[in-house]
Amino acid sequence: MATVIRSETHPDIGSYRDVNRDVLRLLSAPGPGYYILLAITLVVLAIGAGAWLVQVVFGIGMSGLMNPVGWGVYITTFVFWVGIGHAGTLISAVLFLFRARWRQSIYRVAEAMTVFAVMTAGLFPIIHLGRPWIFYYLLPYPNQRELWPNFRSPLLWDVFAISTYLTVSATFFVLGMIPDLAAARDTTTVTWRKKLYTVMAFGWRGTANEWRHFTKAYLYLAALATPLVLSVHSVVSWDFAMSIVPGWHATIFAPYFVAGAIFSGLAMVITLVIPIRKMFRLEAYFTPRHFDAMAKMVLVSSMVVFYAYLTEFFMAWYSFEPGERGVFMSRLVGNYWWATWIMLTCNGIIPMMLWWPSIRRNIPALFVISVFINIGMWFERFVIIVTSLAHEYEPWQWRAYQPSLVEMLIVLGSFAWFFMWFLLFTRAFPIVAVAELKEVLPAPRRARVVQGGAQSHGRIGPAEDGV
Amino acid sequence: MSNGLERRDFLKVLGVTGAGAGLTACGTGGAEKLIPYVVPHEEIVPGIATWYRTTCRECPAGCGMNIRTREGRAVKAEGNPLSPIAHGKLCARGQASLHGLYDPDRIPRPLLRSGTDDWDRLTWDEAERRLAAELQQHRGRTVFLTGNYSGTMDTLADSFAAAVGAERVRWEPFAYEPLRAASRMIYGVDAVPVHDFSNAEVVITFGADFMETWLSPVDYSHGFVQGRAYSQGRRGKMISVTAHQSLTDLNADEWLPARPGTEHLVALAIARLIVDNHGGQAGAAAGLLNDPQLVSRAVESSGVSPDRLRQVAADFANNGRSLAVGPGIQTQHTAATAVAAAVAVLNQVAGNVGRTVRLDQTEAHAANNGSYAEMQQLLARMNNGEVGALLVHGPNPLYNMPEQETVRQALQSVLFVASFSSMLDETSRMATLLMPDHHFLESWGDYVPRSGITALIQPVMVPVFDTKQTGDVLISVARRLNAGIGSDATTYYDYLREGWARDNAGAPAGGAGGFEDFWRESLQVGFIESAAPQPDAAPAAAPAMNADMLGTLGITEAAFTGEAGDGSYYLIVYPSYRFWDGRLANRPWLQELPDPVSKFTWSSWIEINPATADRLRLDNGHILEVETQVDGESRTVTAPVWRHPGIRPDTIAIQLGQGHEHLGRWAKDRGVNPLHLLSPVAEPLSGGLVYAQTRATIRKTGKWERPTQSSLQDSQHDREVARATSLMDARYRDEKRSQPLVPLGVAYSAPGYIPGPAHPHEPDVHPFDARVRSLQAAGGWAPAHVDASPQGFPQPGTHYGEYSEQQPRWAMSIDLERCIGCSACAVACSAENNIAVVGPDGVAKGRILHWMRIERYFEGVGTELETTFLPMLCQQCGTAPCEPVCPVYAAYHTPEGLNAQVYNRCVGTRYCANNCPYKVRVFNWHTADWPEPLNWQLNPDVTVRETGVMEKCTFCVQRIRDAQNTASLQGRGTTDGEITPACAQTCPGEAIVFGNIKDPNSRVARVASSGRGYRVFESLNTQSAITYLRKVSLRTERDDHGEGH
Repeated sequence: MATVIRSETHPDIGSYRDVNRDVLRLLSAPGPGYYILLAITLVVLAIGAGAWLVQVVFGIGMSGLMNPVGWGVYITTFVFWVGIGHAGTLISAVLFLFRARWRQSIYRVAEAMTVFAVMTAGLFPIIHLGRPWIFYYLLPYPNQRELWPNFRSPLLWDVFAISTYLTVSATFFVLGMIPDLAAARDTTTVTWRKKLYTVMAFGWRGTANEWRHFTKAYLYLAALATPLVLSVHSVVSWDFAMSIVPGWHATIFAPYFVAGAIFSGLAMVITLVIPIRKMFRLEAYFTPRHFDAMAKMVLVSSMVVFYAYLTEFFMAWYSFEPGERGVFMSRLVGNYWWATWIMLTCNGIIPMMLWWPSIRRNIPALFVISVFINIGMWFERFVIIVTSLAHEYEPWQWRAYQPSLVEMLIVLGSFAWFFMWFLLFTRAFPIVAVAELKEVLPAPRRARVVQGGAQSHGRIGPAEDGV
Repeated sequence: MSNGLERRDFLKVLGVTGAGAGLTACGTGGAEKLIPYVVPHEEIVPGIATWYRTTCRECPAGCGMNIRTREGRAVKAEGNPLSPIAHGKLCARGQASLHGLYDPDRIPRPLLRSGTDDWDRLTWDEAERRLAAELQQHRGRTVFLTGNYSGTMDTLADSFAAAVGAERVRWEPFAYEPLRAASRMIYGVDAVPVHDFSNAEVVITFGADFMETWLSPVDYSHGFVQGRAYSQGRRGKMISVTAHQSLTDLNADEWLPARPGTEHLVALAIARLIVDNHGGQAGAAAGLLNDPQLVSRAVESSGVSPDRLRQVAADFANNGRSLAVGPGIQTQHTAATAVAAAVAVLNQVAGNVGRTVRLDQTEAHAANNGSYAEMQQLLARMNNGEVGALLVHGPNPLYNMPEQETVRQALQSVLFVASFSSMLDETSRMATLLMPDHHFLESWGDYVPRSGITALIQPVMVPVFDTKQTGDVLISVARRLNAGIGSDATTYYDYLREGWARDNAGAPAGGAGGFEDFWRESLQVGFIESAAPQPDAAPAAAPAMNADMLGTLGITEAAFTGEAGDGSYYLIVYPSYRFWDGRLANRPWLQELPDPVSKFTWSSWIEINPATADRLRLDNGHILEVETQVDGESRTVTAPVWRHPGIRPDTIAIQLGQGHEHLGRWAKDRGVNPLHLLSPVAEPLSGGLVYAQTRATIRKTGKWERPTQSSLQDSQHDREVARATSLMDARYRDEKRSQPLVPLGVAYSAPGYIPGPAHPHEPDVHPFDARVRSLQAAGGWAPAHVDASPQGFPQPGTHYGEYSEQQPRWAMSIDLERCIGCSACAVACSAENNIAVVGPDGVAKGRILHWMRIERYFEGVGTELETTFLPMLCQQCGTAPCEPVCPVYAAYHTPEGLNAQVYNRCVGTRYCANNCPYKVRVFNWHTADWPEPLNWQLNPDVTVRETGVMEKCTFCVQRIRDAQNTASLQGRGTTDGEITPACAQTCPGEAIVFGNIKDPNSRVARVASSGRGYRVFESLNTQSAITYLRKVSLRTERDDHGEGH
């Protein structure tokens, strides 16, 4: 029979050979454009590192932080990056468990984003310290003085939550790449790549036994990572909710933050994938169907987040508490009204356009919306952190905060740090999960195996009867 | 070290000694003999403080001082509790005197001019030889210009001047010329009476800022609080009659915003109404008060309603338990002497003379101050070339006189100018020879602040720089010239003792031990009383008034130059609480201390009424140009705007004290000197400078600067941090708690005064707390019952952290009735706890490090303006929000219930500060810098913090530990009152009480049991250790029980 069977999710990919060609070809020497981009990120990173050095040498006062606003754009950006880090696990683990087959081509990018975002986020708790040179006081290391960190402090929970999340998501990321890296190892001719892939492929040969272990490990790790999606950002939210600061002290914070994290993470995936798709000519891999599916999730999480905003305002009014009411009134009309309205517009109003399927499948429009959401979610954290602190209980100490140049450069540097890792990743590792993608493609057929659910090489996943 | 202090000198410092017995807390030693440290000295034990008694010379008031020294260095200034002037308290200036001692900008050694800004170093021998030669040359044409001298130094200066053929001229910028002139005219004595505020229930001030600079601020503040503050259901009243409210006026219960220049008319009208309606005796003033138009003229020109005058008269007629004071600098206009006379008449009519105004006791320091007019004559003679040599010790005329060009030319036309100033100020910068005096804490001397009190000044450490006491220089120079000064003493110390031995030959205190014992005892007490024989017979307490002289007073409005009309404002300049006349502007603590009223730091500002500002669209920080006409020529200054609700809409005000061209690194080119806007006019009757003399026009520059204010808020919105209650409500609350009550004292007939509900609704429970309790009653998870009384410590069933029931619970009570907002506590705290100074940029960014701040809240507008001051510091909460959030246990709870902060453990997450509802935690954004030798002041008992560390009030834990150690060495427990934090120690109003609240007999427990007690943000369940006592407000019933907020 000569009928060409097309994949439902990736109709433009013809064969396994196409996948190997399109994805593994990226693991070669990049062109000048790539190096220019990398150079830009390195320069910006160096500026940011220099700014941090200035801050370490001359004191945290080089930032715009003051009394009463002790946390500013550092913690804002920290929460922002932690939030970004949620989409990867969501897509790779949760959607895996839910058998959402459209995740296959996209999850590798999302996972990489997660790992790098958490790596970026992890910088800020150290950057924002007054004395970063003794950051290790936060760790429960054995010492002669028998001093332990304070396990009641949400900041300590943060240390554990973030480090756990980084460990699990990095493991998940590296583990999932093993079959692909084995394939890359076998095809590459570049020495350093060969060495790198050899190590990271852990001697993968593709035997049935290895596949069996691999699929089980992957499943368990997915199951382990899934609760982290909920727990990590809940813990981050408790940094705020466990305090008595008006505008922070709210029971809604954990689900509110998790929803916000998913929302921002998905938006960031869209923001990242669209240029990659274009640059690396992977249109066949990231199809409008993918974007449509992600846009739907963005829409849902946007509504959850917006509902949380409304709840907060309602509760402030309903609480009859002048401190609480004062903070929320100041958010709307106070010093930072503009930030609040950016937040409400970008996160609550603009995403409503995604009700229209044509917009969900319109790649440029989606890109613009996702960038707006990223901006809006950064400002959401800014609004939560700064407006609350600037307008607390004690009116004598109400004062507005302005980020300093040093602070902004460090934040910019953190973006460069993230993009540097991401750029390195795109040309060092397969950015599409080759093995898993093959699973959703029609198996290569020989004349004598026209039908009958061939157990193809590329198959991973739960033991389920195949396509 | 640039100042020349070497390690060897430091060892000498360690070796400072004296002949003291060291039996009492206060040593008697001085810098007379040096013993190498290898011979241990009984007075200097490393780690143990030695205290010296001396007398504060930061302003002429002459408060007694206790100076704490450690290892030979002065580290803390406190008031002498025996001193009848200090009462153990100091103001912010006295607290900051150590910054004068250790000022790195002091002139380190004698210098001789060699160029415009070049100086040659001299030895003291060379300098004295040079001075002697010049004096020889200019004999008969020499003027010795001194400031406020009294006692032995005055005698020496006189003898010296006579011996070397010099003429003495005395001058203080704030010389109280109108008060003295009125006293001369009416009573025939050139003296200023002592005012007894503690026995005055009703006080009227006509611009006298008696809590800030007027005569004797610490004694008067202390007495004022005694006289007025709510106690056992009785409360006094204060009325302020001024166009512009200073800190003192903001403490008034009633404000009569009289038009500038009409205060005397108001005073006479009140006196007349007392005569008419309340049986006052006009006496010698009858002629003056008989004018039938008096009241209507006063009403018309001052703009104060007749009703209010009548009510004030009713209140003021208080059986001799009232007191009128004035004028001050802000009301020193062309009729200032008339104001002083009118105030005297008012006191006479109300029967206060002899009771609260005592003419038998005088403010001796105010008597011998010269006058501005005499200074002008001196300038004229200098400009005419009549003065060959000028010696200056004290005054800084180039800064403190409006005619700066004239002064500059005068100084240039004198051939030889020698300055004894220890600072390179504007005047000494024009000198040829600089012979820097010791700081008073390095000097020997005595001082007569009040008739009958002679206070001693003794060195508390060896000099910081290579300076020499001016008394020693005078003696030495006189000897070089073979000029007899009536003594063979070779040092001022000997001269001083000689004088004391002579004057106190038969002194009862001399005792068996003779003079040495007497001397030692006097040093230990710090002063002697009534020892010096009065040269003339003491005046009667209440002498008769001179009716003839009163008749010569023309009672007319003061004249103001400048066009009247729209866009033209009366210009008021007034003294600075912090910088006095400007001489203290180089003290970083004082520059950093927020002005008690405007809360500006490191800057000048222009005060303008909010209504006027709204009309001109001006907000705080807008830069405004003020213009006046001086001799037909335009003068301007520019400064940021501050909207002051306590100023008339047709008036603007600028504070004196800033705008130095020189003086030191912290004072130079900072703010503006408003004297620049004034014409050099002396009041004809008194010869005092007319400070309130002109109208000014203002012009917007369109620029805006971030105000260097410590807080940008004037209102407490609806947060009820500083609470107030009505008098009747306060009585009701106390009655309920079985506190003793006495009948009301004052008539309280003011229109704003509402006596308060007879049966207050819900007197004890705040609505938010009521809500919390209703939640509790419903079984909800809500805070435990909060009880502001001592029984509330600790809350039953809430054992928290390391807190132990067996330990004391340190607590504090702060009575807002007794807080006048002076902020001395804030400086005391900075001095005690090594709190760094952050500078103007730091303050503008909100990074001020003060552990203790005075919040100043305005409520109401116009004459209904009510100001409440609230000292805010760490509340040492029982359930502290700062503690659980610290990830590294830097913030933790001690067994004594304190919230400790472990600096070494702090990594600087700042979470604790975020979570503190009182916002009393401050963060070190940079590592602080104490330029040598300013760092010598640092308290060795307190860690100096580095960048990135959170800090806050500790309740002076080092003092607690010190007392506990002492007690345990003596095998006992600490007693109540043994431990006093620095803030409570210096509070002139004694608003702050500290102690163990678990001891029901402790003072703090008794005070906190008051019905007025409450805790800030009680509903947050922080269980704070500070009980505030509500202010009692007479103006309106400030009901803080909800409704209508």
